[in-house]
Amino acid sequence: MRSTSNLAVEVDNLKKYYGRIKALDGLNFKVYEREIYGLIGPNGAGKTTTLRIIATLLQPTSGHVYVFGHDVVEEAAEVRKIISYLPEEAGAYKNLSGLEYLHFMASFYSKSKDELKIMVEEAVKISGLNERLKDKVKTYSKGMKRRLLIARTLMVHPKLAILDEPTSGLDVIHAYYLRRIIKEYVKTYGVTVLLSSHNMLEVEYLCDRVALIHKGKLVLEGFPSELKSKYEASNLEEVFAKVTQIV
Amino acid sequence: MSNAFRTLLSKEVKETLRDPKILIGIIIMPMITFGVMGFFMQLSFKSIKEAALKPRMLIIDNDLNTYSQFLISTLKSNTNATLKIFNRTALSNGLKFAEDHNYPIIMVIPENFTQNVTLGLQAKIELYTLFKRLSLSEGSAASMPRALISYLNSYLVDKKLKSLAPNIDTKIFLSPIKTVNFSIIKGRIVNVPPESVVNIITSQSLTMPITVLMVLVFAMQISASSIAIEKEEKTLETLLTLPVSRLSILGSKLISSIIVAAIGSSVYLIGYTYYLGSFSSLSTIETSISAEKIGLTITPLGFTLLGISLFLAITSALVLSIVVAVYAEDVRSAQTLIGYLYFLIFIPSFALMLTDINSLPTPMKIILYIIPYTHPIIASKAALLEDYLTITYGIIYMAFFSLILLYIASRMFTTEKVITAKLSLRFKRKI
Ligand SMILES: Nc1ncnc2c1ncn2[C@@H]1O[C@H](COP(=O)(O)OP(=O)(O)O)[C@@H](O)[C@H]1O
Ligand SMILES: [Mg+2]
Repeated sequence: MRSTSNLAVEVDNLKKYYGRIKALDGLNFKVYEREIYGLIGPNGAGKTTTLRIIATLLQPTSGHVYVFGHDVVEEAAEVRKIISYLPEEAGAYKNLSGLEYLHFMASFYSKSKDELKIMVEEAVKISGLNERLKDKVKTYSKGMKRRLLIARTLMVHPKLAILDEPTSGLDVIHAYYLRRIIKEYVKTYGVTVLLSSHNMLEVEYLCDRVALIHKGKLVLEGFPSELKSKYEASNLEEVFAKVTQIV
Repeated sequence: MSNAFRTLLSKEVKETLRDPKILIGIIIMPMITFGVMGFFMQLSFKSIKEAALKPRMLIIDNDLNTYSQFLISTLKSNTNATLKIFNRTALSNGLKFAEDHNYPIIMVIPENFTQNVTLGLQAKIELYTLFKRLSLSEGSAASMPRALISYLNSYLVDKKLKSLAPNIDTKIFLSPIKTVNFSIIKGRIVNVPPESVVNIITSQSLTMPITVLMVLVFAMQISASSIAIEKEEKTLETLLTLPVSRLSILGSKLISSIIVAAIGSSVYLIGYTYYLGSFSSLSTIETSISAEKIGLTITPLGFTLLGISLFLAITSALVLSIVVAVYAEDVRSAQTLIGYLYFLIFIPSFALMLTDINSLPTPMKIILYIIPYTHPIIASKAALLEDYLTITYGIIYMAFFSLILLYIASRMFTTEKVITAKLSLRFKRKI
C-alpha cells in the first residue's frame, strides 16, 4: 500500500507486449478521486489493454499501476474489492434471468442480506428494464444486455468503476440513456470513473479530464475545454485530428 | 465453504443443468437410448423365449403307430406347444398350411417309424424349421422338439438295455467317466465349473471400463464447456475481476462438473443396468451363479481404494480438460479439443475390456500404465483379487498426475493465461 493523498489510479511507465506485439509503450497518467477520466484514441491504441491491466486481468510487461495505493499485481485481491469493471465486450449468463444475474453479482460484494437487497434494487432502477428482468438473459437485445451490465457494474458502489467503451455499438436511444445514467450516478455517489471511448462526443459529455492515447503512448492530457481552446478546435474530434497529424 | 464459493458453485450447477445442450445430451438422450434399446432387447428375448417354450408345431404323422402316438401324447401332456396334427399327408400340403397359419416347425414322422424302432433299426424324424421373417425366434423354435426327441432316445436306450441286462445302470453305461468341475479362486476351492466363473468375470470386466469411460467423458465435456462458455458468452473477464479468489472459481467449476457428471453417469448406469438386465432375462433354464457365491467380492478396504482411484481419475480428467479448454474460444472448439483427449480413455477401456494387462506385450503394457485412466480399470480387477498394492501404485501415480495438472491449472487461473491463451485451429478450416 502506497500512501496517496487523493489519487485513485496511478499508471507509471506502463508497458505491455503481447508476444512481439507492442500494445503499451510507457504510459503515464493519474486519476484523482471522484473524477471521471476518459481514455480516448482510435481502435488499437491500447485503451482496452490499459483498462484490463488496471482491472487485474492482465499483467504489465513492465511498469506499475496502483489503484488507491494498491499495486494491481502484488495486491490484486485488494484491488478487486474496490473496483467494478465493465469489459468492452461483455455478456451475462444467458440461462439466468436478469434478476438472478444481479443477485449473483451482488452477493460477492454485499455483507448482509439487506445490503444485497439494496444493491439489487438500485440495479433494477439503473437498468430501467422493469419486468423484463424476470426473463432469461438470452432473450435480451444488445442494448438491454448493456443496460443490465452497467447496472451490475454500478450497483456495488465501487471506489473505482472501470468502463470500457460503455456505449459502443448501441443505438442512439440506449447510448443516450446510459450516458445520462452514468453521469447522474457519479454525481450522486461520488465514485471515481475511468472509462475509454472512441466516441469524442461521449467523452466530452461525460469526462472531467481526458487522455489521448495513440499507439500505446499518451500524447495529450487535460480538461476538454482547455484542450479545445489550446488547439483552436470546436470539439475534441478536431483536437484529436490535429494532434495525431503532428505525432 | 465460504459464501462466495457457494454462490459460484450454485451458479455453475444451475447454468449447466439449464443448458439445453447438456440436459439433452447428458440426461435425456441416454435415458431414451438405453430405454429404447433395453425395451426392444426384452421384446425380442421374450419372443425367443416364447418360441422356445411354447412352440407352434405342425406334425405330419405318416406312421400312425405306437411310437408316433407316444411322441405326440408326450408333447401334448408335458409341454405348452400348440400342435396341429395331419395324418398321412404330403410335406407340401403341410408346408402350405404351416406358411398360411404361421407354424415355424414341421415335424414329419415317416411311415415305418415304429417298425424301425422295434426292429432295432435307426428310425428317423424330420424337423423342418421355416424361416419366414429371418428372426432369431424362428431359429430357436426347434429346440423344444429336439429336446423331446432326445428324451425319447434315452427312454428307448434305457428300455433296450434293461431288456438285455436288467441290472445295468444306463447312465453309467452311456458315460463311464464323469468330469467333476472345480474352480480355485483366491486360493479357495469352489464347486463351480470354470465357464460360470468366466461368465462373471466377463460381465464384471465389462462394467468397470464402460463406467469409467462414461463418467470421464461426461465430466470432461462438462468442465470444458463450463470454461469455454464463459469465453464464448464473454462473461469470463467480469468473473475474474470479482472479489473472489481465482482458485475458488476454478474449484467451483471442478466441483460442479463432478456433481453434474455424477448425475449424468448415474442416469447412464441405471439405463445401462436396465439394458444389461434385458440380456439376463434370456438365461432362464441355466442356473446363474452370483459373484458372492464364489467369493468374488470386494472388501470395504478394496471398495475404498477403488473409490479413491476413481475419484482421482475423474479429478485429473476434469483438470486436464479445463487446462485444454482454456485454449479454446468457444464451446464447439473446446469440445473438439477435448475430443482429442478421448483416446486416453478409449484405449485403456477397450484394451482392458477384452484382455488382462499382464497378458499384453511389454511396450503395450508400458503405454497403458502411462495413461492414467488405465489405473481405475486395473483397480477394479485388483480389488476383486484383493491385490491392494496394485491399486495403491495406481493411486499414487494418478495423485501425482492430478497434482501437476492442478498446479498448471491454478497457474493459468492466477495469471493472465486464462484470458490470453489461444490455440490456432486454423489447419481445420483449410480442409
Ligand atoms: N490478446 C491479444 N493478443 C495479441 N495482441 C493483442 C491482444 N489484445 C490486444 N492486442 C493488440 O494490442 C493493441 C492494443 O489493443 P487494445 O488495447 O485492444 O486497443 P483499443 O482498446 O484501444 O482498441 C492492438 O494492436 C491489438 O491488436
Ligand atoms: Mg478496446
